[in-house]
Amino acid sequence: MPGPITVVCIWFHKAAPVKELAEYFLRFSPQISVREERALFVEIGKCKKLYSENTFLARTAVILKRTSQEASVAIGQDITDSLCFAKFGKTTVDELPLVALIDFVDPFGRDDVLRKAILKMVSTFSDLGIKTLKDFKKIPVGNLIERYGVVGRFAHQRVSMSDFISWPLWQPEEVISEKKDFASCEFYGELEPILFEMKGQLDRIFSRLYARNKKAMALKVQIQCEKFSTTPKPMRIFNFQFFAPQGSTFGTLKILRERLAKDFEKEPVRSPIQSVQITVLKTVSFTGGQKNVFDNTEEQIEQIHSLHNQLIEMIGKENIYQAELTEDRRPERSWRKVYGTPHLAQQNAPELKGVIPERATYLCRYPIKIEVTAGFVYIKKKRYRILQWHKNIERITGGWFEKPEAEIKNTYDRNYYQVELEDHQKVSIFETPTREFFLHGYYG
Amino acid sequence: MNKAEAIKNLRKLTSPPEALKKDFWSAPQFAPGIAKGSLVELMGNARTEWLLELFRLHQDALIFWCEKESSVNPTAIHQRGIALERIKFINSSAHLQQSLRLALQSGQYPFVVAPTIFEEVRVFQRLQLLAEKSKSTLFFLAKEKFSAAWPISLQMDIHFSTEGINITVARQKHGSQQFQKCPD
Repeated sequence: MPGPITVVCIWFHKAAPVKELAEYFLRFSPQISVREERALFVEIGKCKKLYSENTFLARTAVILKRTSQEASVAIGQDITDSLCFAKFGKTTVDELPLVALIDFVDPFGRDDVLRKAILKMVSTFSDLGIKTLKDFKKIPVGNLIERYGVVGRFAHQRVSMSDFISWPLWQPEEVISEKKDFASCEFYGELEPILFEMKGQLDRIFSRLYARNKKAMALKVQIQCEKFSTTPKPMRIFNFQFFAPQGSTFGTLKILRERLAKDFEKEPVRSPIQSVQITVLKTVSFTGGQKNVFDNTEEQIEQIHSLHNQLIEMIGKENIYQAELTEDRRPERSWRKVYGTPHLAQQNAPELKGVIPERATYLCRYPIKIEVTAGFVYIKKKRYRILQWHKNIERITGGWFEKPEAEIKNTYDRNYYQVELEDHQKVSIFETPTREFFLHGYYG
Repeated sequence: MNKAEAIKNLRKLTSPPEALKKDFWSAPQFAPGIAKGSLVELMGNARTEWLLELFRLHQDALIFWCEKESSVNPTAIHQRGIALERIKFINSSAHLQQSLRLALQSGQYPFVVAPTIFEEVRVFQRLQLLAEKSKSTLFFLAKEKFSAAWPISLQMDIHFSTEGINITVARQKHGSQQFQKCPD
């Protein structure tokens, strides 16, 4: 059984990057644990000969100020009481409100089922007039077990501080980074030497990632230029978020080149480059294996992902898509754009064969109002002779069922016709209940 | 022998071996076939219908479809028997050339479709070299007139007619798959 401990809890008022902040406290103690986004626990009892509690609290205040975080700090004999002191602003367990029982039982906020059961218990006892943990402690443990079983016994043990809580392991995240410092005036802001250096760095980074069975999802490139008066921004930082995990230099370098070339063209570098650094910000696991010499599907998929990443970098995510069919019968709504699924088949695609007539291959951006007279149509004031007006009508109507009682605005009621104009140009025309005609698409 | 005859004889000598080197896509209503690794320009009111028919014949090939802005109707494509997951749609006008370049360089898209918005021969030449290297066929969809750029090896005017689809070949430089079958 471990000896007595002194735990400091830092409770953040808003969601905070607790894992990053925890690294600041490694200088005080190696025993650190975190509660996702909200709390940080540091054991300082074993370091009392190095610094006092007051010194620690003063240093914590400085760190919080530097990192612009708002938090309450409290010291307790265990994780549970220090957490509740910080969260509820009390100094003894007896003063704590009954709702603190939830944090006593589940200080790391990991077990939703248990929290729900304790919440129910808290609600029942509150109705019975038990408002604080002092009142709760007076309830005989036998009664708690009788009523709530193992949960009751567990809650009692935690409140009377007779339970040992193991600290979940927290370790600072491993940072994979490569940096090269250049001798003074080695070269100015040309792109090619930078890319040449980056290639080497990426090779090393991907080798390190491969050894860990990981691929990069985000990279940060920092280019440090010398501070000249003509260089207003000596440090250039580029963040790359990849659509698909990157595992090779070849594809990644193309993406980097695309962004850097654009930036260098927009803002030329006018002072010598001092250093180039690439840091991996985010990784994902992958199941590495020997290359399949009989099937190159995986390589093809990776190349398609790489191409997709480059296109996103160049023209934006919204301009690259696949199409998926929908159940909507309106031609403009009968499909939707799907981003980020390169060549994956649609699940449960609606069956259209024999259900709807053959649609026009091109749709107008908006339906164009047209005039229809005997034997002719006028599209944008230009007259076209009608060769054939097909008798089959496709009637598309709907929208009314969505808001049957509200004022109906979003309804549609269209009769679609296939019309063959001069030069055998087929078009798709629809008619509204008010006898207005619109050109909606054309064939071929 | 006059100049025209000399050229004709030279063509006879050079065309079949050139054609032998090429692979061809079998194409609907166009027996010579479409050469892989070439630029093809299509015009007329049935060009897309014909193109979709070609894509339907070659179900395994992925398609890279570029437009200036979204106008093609994927529902119609699906109705013509083409699986939509084969197609990657790209909407871009300012970066169209770079997008095409990347797609051709990747070698993953045997069919690439784009509108004819380029005027410089140099651009076509660059795309033709990439297409040849990757064995992809780049289809340009022309609106009113064919481009005069020489790197385009096949230009077809495809129209609806009373009998169905009518094809007129305006330019054909890459030989045909018949040469492959019977070079003599």
